[in-house]
Amino acid sequence: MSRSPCHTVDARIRRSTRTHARRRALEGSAWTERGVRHAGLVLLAPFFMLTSACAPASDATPLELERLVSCLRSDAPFGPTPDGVLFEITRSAFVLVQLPGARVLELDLDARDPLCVSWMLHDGLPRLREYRALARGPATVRLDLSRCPDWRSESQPLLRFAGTGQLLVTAARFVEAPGDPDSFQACSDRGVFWAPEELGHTTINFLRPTTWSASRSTWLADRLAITALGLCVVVGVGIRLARRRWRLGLALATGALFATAAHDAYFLVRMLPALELVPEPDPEARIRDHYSFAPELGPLVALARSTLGPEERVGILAQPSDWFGPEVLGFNLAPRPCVVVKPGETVFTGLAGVKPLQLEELDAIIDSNSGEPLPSGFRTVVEIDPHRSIARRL
Amino acid sequence: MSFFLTLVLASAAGLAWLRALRLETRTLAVDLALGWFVGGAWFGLAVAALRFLVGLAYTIPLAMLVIAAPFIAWGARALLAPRSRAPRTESASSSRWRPRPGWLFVPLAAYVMVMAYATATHGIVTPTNTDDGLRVRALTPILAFEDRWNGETRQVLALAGSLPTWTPSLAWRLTGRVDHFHVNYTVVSHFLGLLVLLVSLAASRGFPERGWVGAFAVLSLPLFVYHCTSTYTDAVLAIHVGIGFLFFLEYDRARDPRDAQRALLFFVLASFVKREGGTVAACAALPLVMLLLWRRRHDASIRIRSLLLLLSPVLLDLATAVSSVGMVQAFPVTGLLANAAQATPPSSPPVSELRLEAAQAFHWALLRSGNQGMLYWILAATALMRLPFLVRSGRCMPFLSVASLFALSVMSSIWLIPQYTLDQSTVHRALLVVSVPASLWVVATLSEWCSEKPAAE
Repeated sequence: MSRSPCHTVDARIRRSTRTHARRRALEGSAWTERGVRHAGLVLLAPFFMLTSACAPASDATPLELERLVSCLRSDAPFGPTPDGVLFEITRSAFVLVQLPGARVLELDLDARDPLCVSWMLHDGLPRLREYRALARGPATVRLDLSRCPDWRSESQPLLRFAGTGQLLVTAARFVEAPGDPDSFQACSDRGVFWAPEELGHTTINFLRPTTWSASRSTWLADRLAITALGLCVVVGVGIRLARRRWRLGLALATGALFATAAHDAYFLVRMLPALELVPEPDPEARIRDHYSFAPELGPLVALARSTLGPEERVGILAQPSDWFGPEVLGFNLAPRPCVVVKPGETVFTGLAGVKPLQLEELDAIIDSNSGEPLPSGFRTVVEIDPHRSIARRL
Repeated sequence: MSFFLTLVLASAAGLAWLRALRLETRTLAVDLALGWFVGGAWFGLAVAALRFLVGLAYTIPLAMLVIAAPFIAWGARALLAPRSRAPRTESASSSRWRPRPGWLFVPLAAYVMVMAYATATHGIVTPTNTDDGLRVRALTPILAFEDRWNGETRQVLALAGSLPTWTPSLAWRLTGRVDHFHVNYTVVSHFLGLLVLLVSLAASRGFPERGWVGAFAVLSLPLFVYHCTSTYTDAVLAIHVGIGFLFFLEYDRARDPRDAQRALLFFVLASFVKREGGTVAACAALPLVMLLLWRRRHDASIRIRSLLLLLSPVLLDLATAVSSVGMVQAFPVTGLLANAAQATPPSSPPVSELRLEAAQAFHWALLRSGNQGMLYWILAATALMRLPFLVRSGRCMPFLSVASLFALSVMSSIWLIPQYTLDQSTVHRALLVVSVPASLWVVATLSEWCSEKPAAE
């Protein structure tokens, strides 16, 4: 006849009467009961299951240069060269890759000037993803379309390049999406499920929903809750049969631990790739390199911080739709007085606490890819490229 | 590195206050964490009050005076009312630091360590991404450093609260140099302080398992974890409310009145964070105050005078807020009431029309979206199965505190800015102050339930 966990603890307490502290420790450690040991296995299982399922897909097919050229559409001038397809980008450019039926698209790029690339589905939600800074030199960009909840078999990737300069696409590869609808849906569901979190402006309000199957609108939390409930019942009944006692608390704790651990494992797998995990002791380097969803801004902010004096009054030139750039510049240059220069206005305002300034009062102008000419009386003193520069009064 | 100045000075001031109030626990890790929380909040409150009520400029002597004041109070208290040789109820004899069994708690602790590292590193490394097209909350410490307050800056101050505004600026004031990352460090240090407190407090009371599971539960709230990496202050508010609630749970368990005092102290500190901090803290504290008044009939060690003394900083904070930004900015609800009295036509549809949509929004936020992890499923199951017992045994007040926070969150989400609730913009964030205490309640309830000796059939 098996003995109850309670008897086990009591027996151990009786045997160990050496110190009062020892007795207290044993009384307090009801966690050592056998039922909880089994719960520990339950706790570890989701971690192994989830991490083992994260195998990257490959088998990419090369895309010939002629076919690539015929697939491309852009609002920027482009054309074939012996080395690849060359784009001339001014401030920003959209590049549509008309390649329906692709699941993954890999582009080998050679940026002649610093650019920032992001992308979305042409027929999907108007939400850019995976912002990435391209320094001068070669880089490979991999677009996994199946990670988008709005991916369809006819979807085409639309890339956005921010910045000014030349970009050479030297090679392209793609992975085809499954042909039959069921496999396609399964592939889409898998892609959305395993897609890493994409940090952006709205992440502070909500993280990406945790779907179980995006196509069927079923949710991970529902599934885990049902499984955990089943586990509670099994553990509860199991303890009842084995010990002839109800241990509802233990059963519920087991289910709760399972559900939480499984969700945490999923959270880890999804969140860790999105986080910066390497310490960077230099604050200036952090500003330069870690504006993850506006990577083109960081170098400009860092340049401005190192160039401008602490008392200089600064104006920011930006595109009218750009609210983030001026805010980031104004914040990181504070407590320097910093205002947004809007063409046609005479008095400019900035973040809270900055008194309105007129053009005559400004000592320096930062051009953040505005496309506007510098106000008269200012001359560029340092630049990242012709459209991201810092000018001082002559 | 100058943030260490802030850490050391504020923690020292906080420890002095704890000594003066005789609320220290005599466990080093716990007291250091408590000292940082109390000192940081004290600095924010005192500088704000001196700036807006007395009209003193924010200078180095003022900052040092504020840091020195708790030491003066501690000395005065020691002279006027020497500590009696009372038995040390919170001695190290009951502490136990290693959770058992190891094979269960090693993975739990590993998860806590990994998430703590990832959150702290990301929080420190990433610069402020600013908020939206309207304002930058992380700018308020810089405004405090500049000490130039006008109508616009005071509105930002009203949104942020005194703690997030002045605490990060302490080292800037002393060194004269602004390092924008001090805002990040402040949030991250509060986050790490919470984890240290959860683990060390439970261990010092002989229940290390509860501490580690508590840290595990808090780190299982995905949106809370992400918020701790940002320079928003929602997480800071949730942390203060969570710590207050942690001591509320301890008081409910062990009935040491000093835990109740610590809980009240932290609810008071929570009222210095964000504009809604006071209301949130009041909701969390009300059941505790009711419980104290009830138990006072039988327990002479509960003194109303000391409770009122602990609550007095709230009045100071309220007076400061009103003098700095005016009644309507400090308490938007007064504006709502004034509008209601004038029968101003509402800009949004009537609440009755929104009820179903709001319910759907909360159903999504609580149970499906994953932003709060699996907490609310587990909370519902735990409450369903355990609440009858807790009600019968007179230990339902902590749950009542969580319920009041949830009710406040629902009401403010539906009545104040329903459009942001319905489009899911703010509902997840609004739940953070509920989720942290709720996860601690679940852990305390389940761990006690599991530890109970089963009744023989």
